[in-house]
Amino acid sequence: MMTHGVDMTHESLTEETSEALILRIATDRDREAYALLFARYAPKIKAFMMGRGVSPNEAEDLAQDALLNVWRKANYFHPEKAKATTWIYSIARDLPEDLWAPEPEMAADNAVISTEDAKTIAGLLDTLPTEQKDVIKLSFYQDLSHVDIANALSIPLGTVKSRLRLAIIRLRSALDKSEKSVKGQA
Amino acid sequence: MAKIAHHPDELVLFDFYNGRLSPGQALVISAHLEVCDTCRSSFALYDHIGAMLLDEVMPQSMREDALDLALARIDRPAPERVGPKSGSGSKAPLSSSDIAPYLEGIDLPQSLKEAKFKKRYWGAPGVWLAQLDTQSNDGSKTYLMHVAKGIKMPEHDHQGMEMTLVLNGEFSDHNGTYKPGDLIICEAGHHHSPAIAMEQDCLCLISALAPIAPKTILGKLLQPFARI
Repeated sequence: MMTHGVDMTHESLTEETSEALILRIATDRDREAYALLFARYAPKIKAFMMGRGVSPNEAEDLAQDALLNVWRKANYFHPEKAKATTWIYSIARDLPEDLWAPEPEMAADNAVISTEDAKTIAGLLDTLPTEQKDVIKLSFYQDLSHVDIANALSIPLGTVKSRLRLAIIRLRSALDKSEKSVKGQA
Repeated sequence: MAKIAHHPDELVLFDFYNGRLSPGQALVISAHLEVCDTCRSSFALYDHIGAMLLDEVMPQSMREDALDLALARIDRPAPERVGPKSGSGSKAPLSSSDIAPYLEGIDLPQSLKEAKFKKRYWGAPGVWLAQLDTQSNDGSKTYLMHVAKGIKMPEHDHQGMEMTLVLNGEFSDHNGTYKPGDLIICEAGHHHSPAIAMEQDCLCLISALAPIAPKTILGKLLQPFARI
């Protein structure tokens, strides 16, 4: 949450955390907060969707739809359970049903990774060897099969699979560890 | 539900998340996810990785009037269903007459209740099958298979990856025993001869990328009837 300094300039307002903006939408249906959040996330979601092979027009529509759902679902957002970006991402990925897997039924508590876990994993993604991070990125961004990824990187298919598997297992074990340490503290 | 011991490979789950599986395979994984907390937690992990990549991406400018449009849209009334998606969200609830009569009384995962299966047929004594109504056109087949208790299936090879989700009852092969919720993946080249437990009939959902190859004369004789 932001600290209110003495000089409450317009600039410091725009730096309000995304979490705080979503909460303002949830409690006050705050249009200014929505406009700020829109400016922050719509262009990124558009870029992300284009990276998945969607046309610019369609990506623009998806970004619009994602933010509209952020407005409508804001009261389901719990900052203690999820970072704003993760929550918004999960809304965006739930949009085009032919591009993504359907969301499995899940309890809201399990649906997102806590902010504490998020810090651990964010750090860890950067410690992955570049070659593992590359295949993860290509898997998310591009509408590519494993064979396409192998061709794009000029590596054997088996190598793509083993790198992906290693990266996911590594991130997952980091998550398990951080969950245990959170439970240990409680 | 008892603790689930057999899960899909992490890569299969990741492919499912990224929309890379055939519809039949995706149906099997969806049904498993409904009952498996462990695999659902992987989805949370993938969402988080995706969010970090979203943070890193170079933004693409929206159209000039994008914000005006966005502000106009939030003024319109929301559709009736708002909130976390419940899987069945956009579809009308099925009436009981939509569910195949042979599946009545069986506690199926929600994603299977929404799937349509053709009329069942007998593939062999004690074995009935029901094919998914809309099959992919890639040669893969997805079907329910119900096998009477105590039956041992003929030994067979797999020519392509096959996923099996146990829905009811249990069976075992040389690798272990499988109970409801367990998901077994046989890669091409694997062979086994599953045996159904003595106590209860066994119902499975199966999605195979290629036909099975029976290794016994009995199996070869039965295959045309089984159509798998």
